[in-house]
Amino acid sequence: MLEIAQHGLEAAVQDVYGRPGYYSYGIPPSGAQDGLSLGLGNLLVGNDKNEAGLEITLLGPQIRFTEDHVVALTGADLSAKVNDAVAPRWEAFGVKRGDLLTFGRIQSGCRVYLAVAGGIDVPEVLGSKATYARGEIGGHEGRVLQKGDALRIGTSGAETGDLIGRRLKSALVPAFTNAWELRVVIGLEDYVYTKKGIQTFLEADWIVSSKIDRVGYRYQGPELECVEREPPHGAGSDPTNVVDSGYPVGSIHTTGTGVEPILLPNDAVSGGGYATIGTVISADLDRVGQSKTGDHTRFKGVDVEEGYRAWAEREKLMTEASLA
Amino acid sequence: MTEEDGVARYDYGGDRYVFVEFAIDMALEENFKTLSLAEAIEQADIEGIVEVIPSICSMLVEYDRTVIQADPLIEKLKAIEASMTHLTEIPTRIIDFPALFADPWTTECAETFKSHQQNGQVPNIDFVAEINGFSDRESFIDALCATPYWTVMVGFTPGLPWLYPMGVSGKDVIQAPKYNRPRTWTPSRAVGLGGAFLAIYSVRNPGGYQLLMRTTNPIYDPKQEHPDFMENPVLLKPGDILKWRSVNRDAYDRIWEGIQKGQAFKIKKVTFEPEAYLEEPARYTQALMEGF
Repeated sequence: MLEIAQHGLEAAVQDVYGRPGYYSYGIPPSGAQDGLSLGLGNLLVGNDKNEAGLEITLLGPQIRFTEDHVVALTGADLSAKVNDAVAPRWEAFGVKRGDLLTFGRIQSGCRVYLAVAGGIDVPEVLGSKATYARGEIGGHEGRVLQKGDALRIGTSGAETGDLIGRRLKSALVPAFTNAWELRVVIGLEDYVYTKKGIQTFLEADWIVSSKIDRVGYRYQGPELECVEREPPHGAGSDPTNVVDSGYPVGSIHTTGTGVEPILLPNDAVSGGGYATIGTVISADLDRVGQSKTGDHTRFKGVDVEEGYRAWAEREKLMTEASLA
Repeated sequence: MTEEDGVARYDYGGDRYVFVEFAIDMALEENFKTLSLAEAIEQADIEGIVEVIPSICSMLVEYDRTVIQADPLIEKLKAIEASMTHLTEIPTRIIDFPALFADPWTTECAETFKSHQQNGQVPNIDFVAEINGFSDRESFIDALCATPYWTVMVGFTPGLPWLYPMGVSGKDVIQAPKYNRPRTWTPSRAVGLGGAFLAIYSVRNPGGYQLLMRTTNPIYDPKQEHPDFMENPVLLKPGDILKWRSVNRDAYDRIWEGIQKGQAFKIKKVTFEPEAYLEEPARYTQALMEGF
């Protein structure tokens, strides 16, 4: 069992692929914002790739282990310690009953993942253990974790001795930065922008704003030039307004005459009345999940084929062949 | 970018969705086309489709890129579209929505965000009645309750419906501007009007629609405790028809109490014929609602 001795900013139970199939009801997929890091964590502790772990954002909680477990920390470096010792990253290690896991300063990235051999034992809701806090479903009681919460751990089929020390090949450990490149397929309602507006979008050095969460990431930068047009019936009065349409997970919108693009990650709102300029390829949503306030971001236009290639590479990483 | 008449536009929603758009302006006919095509795609049972996500005049089709990719999928969707010579019947439901107009909860909310509204009029219903040319609140309520509302889209937050009036022509559609600045919260089950659309707030959430009333019917039940939510935590689907019923405070409390104890909603299954509707919207709507 894991006990939350002190809660941090935001820690919640997530799996890798979330809850597909309910977006038409307004229920987004959810799941880890950096699914690759959680999937690699599961690989290290011998879990099924999509098993649930903890997603810990920026300011970590304190976690008490009430039994012996094999765990792995992947994703961001939040200066994790077990009792007084620095905890390994990207490597399976053992913890003992009574050990306390704590976090400190952010060294890199935004979200750290704790994978536990056996997985976090919460009920599946609509086919997934992922937390969707806004909709109050999934994870632990449909919400982020609070002080005093206790999480059961499932049974692991693997022998503890076989797991401890499992590491990734060092060349395959994801590198985190403060300057990100996100690959975008331009499209859907990019016609509300002028050619110059699209060019500005693709060339600007965007800064990740302080308004970032699982529903939306906002970026600061130049205004995007819009086409002058009479908004269609039912759309609203702003040039970036459209008749409400579906928002792909990963889609980017501007609100109010082309200011402050907002990118919709895994807890996206499923639709609305702002034009979609383009959609970040699925594999690069992992990078979004590790970017944080003040980081730089560039959007690079790519075709859909590049999205498929990047996804195939990402999936291939989460296999035994990646182990050292 | 340009559309051929009557032919949908297809585009890539990243590497995970195909986008199909019938029109860029709101018209019920375009919504019927969207729902007809969505239904036909479901029926075709194409391998690799994860979900069909219809919206007002367009849809997203989510696919599993390890099974099918966008270009071959678009070819299949175009073939289905081409084979649709007429709008297919839409199996749907009429659902009774009791509501307390100018209720204390939305009134309190409107009062709190008075400075965000056009002229600070509380409750908002009087502002909406006035700008739509009604002489008083009562006649506005009568008009709203006499107009069934069609669910054109569900989403934004879980279960939230966008609703558009049936059987009413353009100039008679009740409309209202959205708040100048959105509210940071709105009570759940509040019903608001923004542009030509009514929306029901599923959970306590920000919002900018003019607040008219609160309904007794939850539209989202994350714990799935009420019998009408056993299969899905969301009540409404695109195509559902809502019938508003004005009730007083006593009746509101009684109905709400019943719902909390598991009392089922009043629902009638119907088959909606889009083409018959489009021929004579008012008459068809009246006949469809007969006896409900």
